[in-house]
Amino acid sequence: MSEVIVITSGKGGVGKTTTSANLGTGLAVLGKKVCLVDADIGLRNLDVILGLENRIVYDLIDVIEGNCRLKQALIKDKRYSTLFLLPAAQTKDKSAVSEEQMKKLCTELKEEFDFIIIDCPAGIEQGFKNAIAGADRAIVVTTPEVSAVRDADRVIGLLEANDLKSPALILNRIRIEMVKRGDMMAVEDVTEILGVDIIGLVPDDEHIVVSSNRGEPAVLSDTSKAGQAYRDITKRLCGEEVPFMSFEENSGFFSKVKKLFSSSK
Amino acid sequence: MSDSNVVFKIVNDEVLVILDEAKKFKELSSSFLEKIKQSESFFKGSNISVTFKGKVLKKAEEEELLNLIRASGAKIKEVTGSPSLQNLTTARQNDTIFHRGSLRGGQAIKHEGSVVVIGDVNPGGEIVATGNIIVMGALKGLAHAGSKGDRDCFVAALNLVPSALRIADIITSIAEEYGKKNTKQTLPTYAYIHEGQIYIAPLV
Repeated sequence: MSEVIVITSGKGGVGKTTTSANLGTGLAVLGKKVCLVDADIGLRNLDVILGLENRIVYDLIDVIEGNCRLKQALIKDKRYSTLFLLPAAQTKDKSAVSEEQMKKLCTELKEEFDFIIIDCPAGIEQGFKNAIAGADRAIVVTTPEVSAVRDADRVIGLLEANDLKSPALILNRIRIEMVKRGDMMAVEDVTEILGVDIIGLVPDDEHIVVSSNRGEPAVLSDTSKAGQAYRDITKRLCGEEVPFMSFEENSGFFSKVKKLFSSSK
Repeated sequence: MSDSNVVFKIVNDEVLVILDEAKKFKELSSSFLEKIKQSESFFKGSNISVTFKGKVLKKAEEEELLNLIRASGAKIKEVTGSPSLQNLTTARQNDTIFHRGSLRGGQAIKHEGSVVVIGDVNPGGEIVATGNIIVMGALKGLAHAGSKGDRDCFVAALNLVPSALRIADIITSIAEEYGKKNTKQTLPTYAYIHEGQIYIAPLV
């Protein structure tokens, strides 16, 4: 059974594209057939984060306008043969696509793939409406900041109004030491406001910047904490029960020894 | 059947007179006289303020009813309530709507009557009601009760920290006053107008 998942947030810069790239890659690692769709027409990024920008020949608009067949526009990933990208057009804007066309596209993709992940643009205008039109399920990404949470709340309301009930939440860029100092919203503060289920907690991680610049999703790195968090989310998407990772810093010698003992038990 | 034509509500020395809008003045004045006779002991020698609600009266008609009160031996301190306010009693008696689930940012309820929300009202959510507002959850958005000017309306919530609170024509911001430090207070409270100011009191 295939599923169309839209990754959205309302606010820009909270990590929608990074999340899309990592979840898509993570699902491909698990052997699923995945298609990533960049719905951010005019401001495409997903291709860069996946390191596939030089391979774009046709894009989403070409498919919709009938300039090429769907298969011609799909770009196969360098690393995983089950991962594909349908890039956005850079020279058009959001009004070039309609909700009906997106629905049709999603139905077509569902025949080929297990997971279709749509990277939604920021905002709640036409681009957002297009991105959610064909989705079966939504994941809302937010950061523990008041403004991002407000926008997430607004977006969840819009998703519910469009029959995307109970979207799952990814809380991104958590800095545990700031939460402990009381300088950052805690997970409970966010869930209390939004009242939706959490599917992932992703720590703030410098590795993400490096991996985005290199075009290698962090989910492939064993050392990245954020990568680990994304791997857990992909398992949860496949229906596995995975406990949320611990955010404690295990930097000191003592805690390393402690960890060694506790893991050997 | 003359009983429901005129309703008296007496609180201390204030008398609220609700007149059936559908009835002619003649019918009302005879029921009115009957009512006074029924509570003769209250009116005799008392000093009261009178508020008319329901049917809008002409000045002469109002004076006629007031004279009936005076004839019963009561003094009239003042007559309160402007004609525009009088229409509101009926609006408030209109139906109440119930909203299940939280009201998220950008979602709004506008209603002629009262509104009950079973859930939270998040920042950016709005409720505008001509009647009362009750939130069975946290009220963090905007609430405007008595939106057509009825100052008798109230706003109640399990956690009352609205970004903006309006009752009739009076505006306040609870969140700014003390909510910032205290957004987690869970004492059920309600807000009402007293002497032209919004007051907040615990419900229990």
